[in-house]
Amino acid sequence: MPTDRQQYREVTIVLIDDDDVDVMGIHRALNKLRILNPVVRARDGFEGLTILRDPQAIQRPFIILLDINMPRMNGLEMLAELRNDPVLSSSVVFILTTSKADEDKVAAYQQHIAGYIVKSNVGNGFLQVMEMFDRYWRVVELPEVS
Amino acid sequence: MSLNRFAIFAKTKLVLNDATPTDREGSTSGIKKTTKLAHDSILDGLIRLLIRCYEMIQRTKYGDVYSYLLAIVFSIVNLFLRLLIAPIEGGLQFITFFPCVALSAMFVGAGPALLSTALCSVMAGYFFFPPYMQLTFEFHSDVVLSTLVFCLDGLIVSMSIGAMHRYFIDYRQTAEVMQNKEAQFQMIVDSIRDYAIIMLDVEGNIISWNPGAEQNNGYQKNDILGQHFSILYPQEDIENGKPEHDLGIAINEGRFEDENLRIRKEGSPYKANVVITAIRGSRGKLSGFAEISCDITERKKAEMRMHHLLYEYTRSNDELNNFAYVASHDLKSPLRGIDQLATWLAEDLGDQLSDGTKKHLHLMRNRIQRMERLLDDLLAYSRVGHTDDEIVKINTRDLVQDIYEMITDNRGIQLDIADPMPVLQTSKVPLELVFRNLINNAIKHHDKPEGCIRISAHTTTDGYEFVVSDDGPGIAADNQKRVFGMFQTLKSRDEVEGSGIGLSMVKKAVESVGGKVTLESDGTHGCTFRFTWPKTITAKILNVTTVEEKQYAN
Repeated sequence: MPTDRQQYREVTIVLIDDDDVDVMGIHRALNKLRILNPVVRARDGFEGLTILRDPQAIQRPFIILLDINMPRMNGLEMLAELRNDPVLSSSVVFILTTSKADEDKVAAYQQHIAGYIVKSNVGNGFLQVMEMFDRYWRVVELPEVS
Repeated sequence: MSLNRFAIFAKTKLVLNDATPTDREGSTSGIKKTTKLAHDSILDGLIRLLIRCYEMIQRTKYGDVYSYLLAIVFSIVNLFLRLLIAPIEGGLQFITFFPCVALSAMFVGAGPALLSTALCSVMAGYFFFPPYMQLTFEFHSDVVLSTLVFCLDGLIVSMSIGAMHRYFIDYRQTAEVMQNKEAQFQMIVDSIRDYAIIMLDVEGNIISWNPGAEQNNGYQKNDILGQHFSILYPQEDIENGKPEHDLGIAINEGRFEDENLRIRKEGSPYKANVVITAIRGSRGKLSGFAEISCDITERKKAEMRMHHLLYEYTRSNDELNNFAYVASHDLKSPLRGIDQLATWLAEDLGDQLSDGTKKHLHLMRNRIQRMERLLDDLLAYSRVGHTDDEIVKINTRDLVQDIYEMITDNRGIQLDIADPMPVLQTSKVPLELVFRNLINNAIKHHDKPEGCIRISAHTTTDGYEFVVSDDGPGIAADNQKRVFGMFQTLKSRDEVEGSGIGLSMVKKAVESVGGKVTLESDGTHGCTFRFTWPKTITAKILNVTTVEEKQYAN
């Protein structure tokens, strides 16, 4: 495993979610799978944008796991900001939310997200999601956002 | 619409006014007027007498026969008068007969006058030419000539005076018709209370005022006649020249219509819908204006109330939807947190858990799932009837079959679809929801190992009625109303899992397309659900009807 990890640059997980238990769940899943990728967490859209716009705050490349229902700036609002930002517009974003509403799905995919994951569908914690991501960044080439 | 009709009436009236010279025009010279009047009254009296006689004769059953008889009587009377003033051989053979010809023409028209002429010429020939009072067929040329001249003169007199007679009769009849029309018009105008109908002269002075105007504006007829109609406008509008402006539009475009602010006699303003129509005589000359207005203050208030209600209704509806959406999301995330924490507890404690604790944890997760389903269903319920989904062609037989295949767990419950099942153009989501819930209920609540669900349909006047019946336990009469309520279950949720929202969703979905759902059951031998489904539905219309119903209810 360590040799594998040398071959590609470690992907940072930018987790934007206001629910502490969900964040714990993701950490738990990562620990279980022994995934050591760095995780940066923000509690809402504002915080998320601040972190993303600070070049020192996170290692690149990164993927964003974005919740929809959040205080101050929700996920869809943040997504719109992101797509309008010349630097961040190419970010890879996954929506990770409790909302099953069609409107939310359509609105999110219209902003070119990479995937829409409903939290209650993830079964045993976030294990399956994290497993998927572990494979995802081994296979998928991510843009080098400067 | 109705205002237009009044305008036409108003036009008729002013045209009538146009035909009879008004007092204002006649009052230019007082002296002239009196002489003319004395002169006129004699002539008028005579004409009126003549015409009245004629009309009396004409009104009888044999009016025409009497007319001719009258001409004969005139001729004979004339003969006697002639005999009175001169002896038989005293000449004056024809000249004395003209009065009866003229009178006949004046009284009863040209035809009888011609008869009179013929009669008189024969009588003159018989009585006053030698040989006197004897029939002879030896004609002297001067006698023949005189007779011919008399006949010709009689013809001319008959025709000319007869034409005058005709003219007077026609004139009088027309006048009568017009008077009737005017009286009718006046009656209509006077009986109208909700519309103010006002006539204006070319300058805009008020020349007629109906009770509706009295009611709307507060002025009595006698107070206002002759005043300029700008008295009805607010001071500000008068200063801005609005009254003249409105008349100007009526002159240029034929008609002015607007919602104006008007002022009552006591000074209070009111909103009025005003139509001013320019009235023109036969040659296009402006002869005045008809103004029809209606106090729309109440209507405006009602409109405002309606808008307000509509707004309130939409708002509360939106709020409710929003609430259901937000509530189910916001309630779900802590629930998921609890679920995860319970899982982690079980994972972390592992073997240290006693059987009792394990069971408790299991029950806890079971309740969490139940809660999650309730929230999902609540959300689904709130969305029923709100999806603007497209209208598609649905074969209901296939739809029902597919739903059954999807739900059934091969427990021995058969599906029996009766022919014919309609193919209809409708919104698929609610119809599928209704069938799915009804079939699902029939299977889920069936109490015997084997059973049958029967589905049939028949057309009604404006759509279809579908029947879904089963041979399960049925629903007792006491509970039949309850089952359509939200979160109502007839068994505890530990016995039969269910949120109790299925049938309330069915009801909402059916009612959202304008249908009705009913339940029949004797409480032991299964139950039968019937629901109607319209042939054509449009979501937009539905929303409007519900809004209207809501308003009427309020």
